[in-house]
Amino acid sequence: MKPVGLVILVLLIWGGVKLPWERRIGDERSDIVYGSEIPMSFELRETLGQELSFAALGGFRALAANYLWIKVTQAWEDQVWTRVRARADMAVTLQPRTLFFWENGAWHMAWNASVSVVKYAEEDKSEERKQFESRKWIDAGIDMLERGIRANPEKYGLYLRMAELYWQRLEDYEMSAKYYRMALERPGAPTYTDRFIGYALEKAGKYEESLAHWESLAAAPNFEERMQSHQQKVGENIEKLKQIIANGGPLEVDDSQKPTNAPAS
Amino acid sequence: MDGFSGILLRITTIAKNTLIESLRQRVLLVLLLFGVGLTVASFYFTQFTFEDEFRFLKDIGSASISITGLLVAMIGAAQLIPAEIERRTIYTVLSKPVGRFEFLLGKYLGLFSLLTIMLVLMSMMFACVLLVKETVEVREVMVQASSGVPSEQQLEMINDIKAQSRDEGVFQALILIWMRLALVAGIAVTLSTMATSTVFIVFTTLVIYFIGHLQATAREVWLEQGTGGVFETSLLAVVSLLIPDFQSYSIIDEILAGNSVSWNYVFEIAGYSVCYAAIILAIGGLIFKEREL
Repeated sequence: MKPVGLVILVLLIWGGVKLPWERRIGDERSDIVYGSEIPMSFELRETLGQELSFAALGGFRALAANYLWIKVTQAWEDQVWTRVRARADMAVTLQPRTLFFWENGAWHMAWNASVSVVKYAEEDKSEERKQFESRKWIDAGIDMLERGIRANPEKYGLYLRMAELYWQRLEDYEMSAKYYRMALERPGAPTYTDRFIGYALEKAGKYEESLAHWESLAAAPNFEERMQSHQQKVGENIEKLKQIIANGGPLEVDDSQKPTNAPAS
Repeated sequence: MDGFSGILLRITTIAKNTLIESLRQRVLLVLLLFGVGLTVASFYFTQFTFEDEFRFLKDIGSASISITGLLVAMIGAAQLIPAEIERRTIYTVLSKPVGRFEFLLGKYLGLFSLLTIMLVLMSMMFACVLLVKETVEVREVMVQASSGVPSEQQLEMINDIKAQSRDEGVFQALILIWMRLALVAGIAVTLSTMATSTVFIVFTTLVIYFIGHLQATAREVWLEQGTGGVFETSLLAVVSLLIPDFQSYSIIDEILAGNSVSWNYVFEIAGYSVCYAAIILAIGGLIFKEREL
């Protein structure tokens, strides 16, 4: 057989092996990334611009996303929130499985931008208008976290951030408790999550539910291991809630119960 | 010397000489220094992030290794055969009882050894960067500890810092980067068997590299979304047959982002890369055998 024919034959045989093999590797990759991997679409390439598209197409998506994050930081320093949002959106599109971009993008919007539009607004802007804009930024933060949760359903981090958002930005403690619970169902959630479910339910006025939660914690076989130095606090909370329920009304709200793990503004 | 040991000896001699020649080349050494510098400079970039600094360091460090490695692989491979022809040393070597395929394989293995040494050196520098960062971070936590004894929460923080800096995922990522370089070097060496211009080889390898990354997007747009006609589908079939799917290596980013990937999967991609490099070199050998020198 002539060498050209031999080359073609080798290529055809290899092609028969290679294609199913590549497909299998691709399928396994999709399973690992929970189908959240977004191919480099034409639309995204237009948004990214030439240099970043070049990096992202060359297999350096992480590098391109990090570069965008530097740009987010610059826009944050300049307080140009629309630019922060646009760049954070691009970063999460490039790296949907990196929680950092989702968490901090949402934090910029729901905390920094929403506070900034009230605090540094033009003098002639009405209070109603300021609150409207602030709420819009909080909603943008929620939207980013919801998209992040869809891309990373098995990780506790974004549920925790969402719980903090509802607690600190909207004072919706029922939703906060819901997200703390969802975080706790995921592996690796920090030990304080358990306690914050109880606190959130109490702040939401759901005293019976909160009491039931604390009592279930106290009755759990691994109570000591889970609560560590907070064992006494659990007992105190149970007593306090029993009193509230017996009194048929709320007691004074304790400010020290606010989550302390939220990012600093 | 005849038989398998003779073939092995000839291949290793050529590989050794290729490695020594490559190490003498200033361009490649400058590239290596550039890569090491870029890895160390990743410290600077962490000031733009107040959280997740280890991920930032890992992304930039691995990208430095990849970019430097790709440049070394392409430039190094492009000079292998054209330079031998230009200097006419190829005639001296091939006039001895050295087969053309042995010559090609020896050249490839020499370049592969260079890439391996480079990767090991840069990885060591990368590990140093991570360890220095770990020391700095742990010291910062310890400073906050009253009477030098860390609290329960501070111990958790220290463990978290150590887990991030001593992440086994970094090894997985480095293995995959190594394999990607081996494949790119194989493609460039094969191209050097049919071309005479260094620029042509570097450019063509680069084009193949980008097409390899774009394949997945083209497949998604033309096949899965059904927007492709007969021409697009045929083109994609030819591309898929000839060019590796470099998107397979995008899992490196997932690993460095802290997502858990099994060693089986890493070894599967490594196996794919080795097989692909072997096939592409076999094709290169067939082409080189027929080439008139």
